[in-house]
Amino acid sequence: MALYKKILIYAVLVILAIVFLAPVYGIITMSLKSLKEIAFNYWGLPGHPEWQNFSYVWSRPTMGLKPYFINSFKITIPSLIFIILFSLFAAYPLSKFKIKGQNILTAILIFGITIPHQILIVPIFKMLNAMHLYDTVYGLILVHIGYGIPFATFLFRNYMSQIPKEVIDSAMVDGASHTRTIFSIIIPLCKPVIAVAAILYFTWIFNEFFYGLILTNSINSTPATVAVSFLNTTNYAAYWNYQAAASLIISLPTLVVFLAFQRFFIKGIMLGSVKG
Amino acid sequence: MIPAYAMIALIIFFPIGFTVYASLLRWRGEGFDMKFIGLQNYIDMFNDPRFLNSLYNNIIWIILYLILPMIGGFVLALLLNTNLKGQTFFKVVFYLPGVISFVVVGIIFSLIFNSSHGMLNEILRALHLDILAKQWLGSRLLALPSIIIASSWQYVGFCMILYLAGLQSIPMDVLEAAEVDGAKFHQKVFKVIIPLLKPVNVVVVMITLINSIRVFDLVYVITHGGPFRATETIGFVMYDVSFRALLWGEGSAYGVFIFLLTTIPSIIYVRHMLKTEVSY
Repeated sequence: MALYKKILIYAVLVILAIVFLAPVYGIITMSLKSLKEIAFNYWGLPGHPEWQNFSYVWSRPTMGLKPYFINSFKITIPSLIFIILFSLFAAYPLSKFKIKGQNILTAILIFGITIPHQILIVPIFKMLNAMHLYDTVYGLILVHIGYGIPFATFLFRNYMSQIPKEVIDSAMVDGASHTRTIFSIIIPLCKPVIAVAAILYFTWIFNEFFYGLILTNSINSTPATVAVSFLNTTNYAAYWNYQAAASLIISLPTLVVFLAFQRFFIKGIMLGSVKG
Repeated sequence: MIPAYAMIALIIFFPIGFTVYASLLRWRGEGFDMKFIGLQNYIDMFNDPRFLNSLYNNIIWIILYLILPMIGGFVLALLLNTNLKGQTFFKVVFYLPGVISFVVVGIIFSLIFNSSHGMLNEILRALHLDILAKQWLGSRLLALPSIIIASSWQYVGFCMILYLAGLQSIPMDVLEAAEVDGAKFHQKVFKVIIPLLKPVNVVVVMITLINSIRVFDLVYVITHGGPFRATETIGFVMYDVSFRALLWGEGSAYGVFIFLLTTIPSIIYVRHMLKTEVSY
């Protein structure tokens, strides 16, 4: 490629990257300023970083983020473990055996990926109320599992279909049951795709907002995303520094996961959505 | 296998059926006081100016969402599908907003579009373009496009990744052959690359359609549907009617309507995914 072309492409990319990151820069510097400093030193780096903004939003007496942050983990981790387990067991027969209605069962998965929340939420709300699971982390976990299984199963099915059938047959000849085959052969072979699913679901469920908003109502179970959204609509709306600090705190887990595993992450998006 | 499909039945199929049933009921407030009224909720909905307004807003959302993030993602993918160093860095930068919660995106853009001290107006004033410094979120005309821009910031990286995957599957010799034949850059893009990207395009268009039909989160966080309902989407009204006004029958009719709109792209998507087989 000609040099001037290279330079041109770099220049465009750098400008776009700056535009893309400007909001992030803005929110980081804002989180470390006092309200007064935001007013007179808008763009500059904070003169005296106000770290107490973070400790304040984290642990202030009302609407401190800490319990909500913990709720988010209590919801996210079990949900993603169950999604992966259920989906592994469903993907195995779907990819390895001829079963009746295989195409329909697969179509159900893809269809499930595209379902809008609005057609599900009223019955789910009523159902959790009737089961006394409204405003509990268990209720949310249940919903996340059901909603999360289709994509994970589809992802695993695609991955497993490339495992040679002989591998499984030889295990069967040795007298292993299906359950044993899954644990001793399939899961080890599927480690990469399991990692992809864990990373994707961690981000999705941690960032989830709609179900959290509707299915929880108190410090018992409200996830951090919903708690932070209330900052925008309450007395805290004017405290931009607190809003910025809270935003950064709840973005941290998913950002860390993304930056640490970005290779898996991007691969997962590709595998799940575009086949071939 | 059975537990997985049982969960899907419980959390997806049973609720779909129940919402369809509930949309035929007069069912309001706490409890289960229901009365069958046939299609009355739908008739009322189609005669409700609030519904028509949200439908109009949603159509604008769909159109802009099919333009901004999709074309943006395609251009980014073209720029990155070269053997330049630092590709990964740029990929990470452009995808970064995609791993941030809607809520945070909402807060960031509330602060950016704020009319008095928002970043956007501060920049415009610094450039002595005060005349362009608007009340972005307070204006009936500008609020919706502003939210769509916020949403595109988050979504464009996803489109980029899908297009990159598609571009990387185009064999190099095809492009080289085009160059040998003397194809200009724009000819290469429109005559060779875009036709070859058709499978990716189907996926991106369908996912984009589905996402814009059901959009809710950013509207809720940034404007709550205002000013004067100028940013209400169908998904937002569905929430408001069901969980604020507690009109379950009416809310379910909205839900069914959203569902029906998504079934068309959703069926195309399902057929496409079943047809093409995987290769790694």
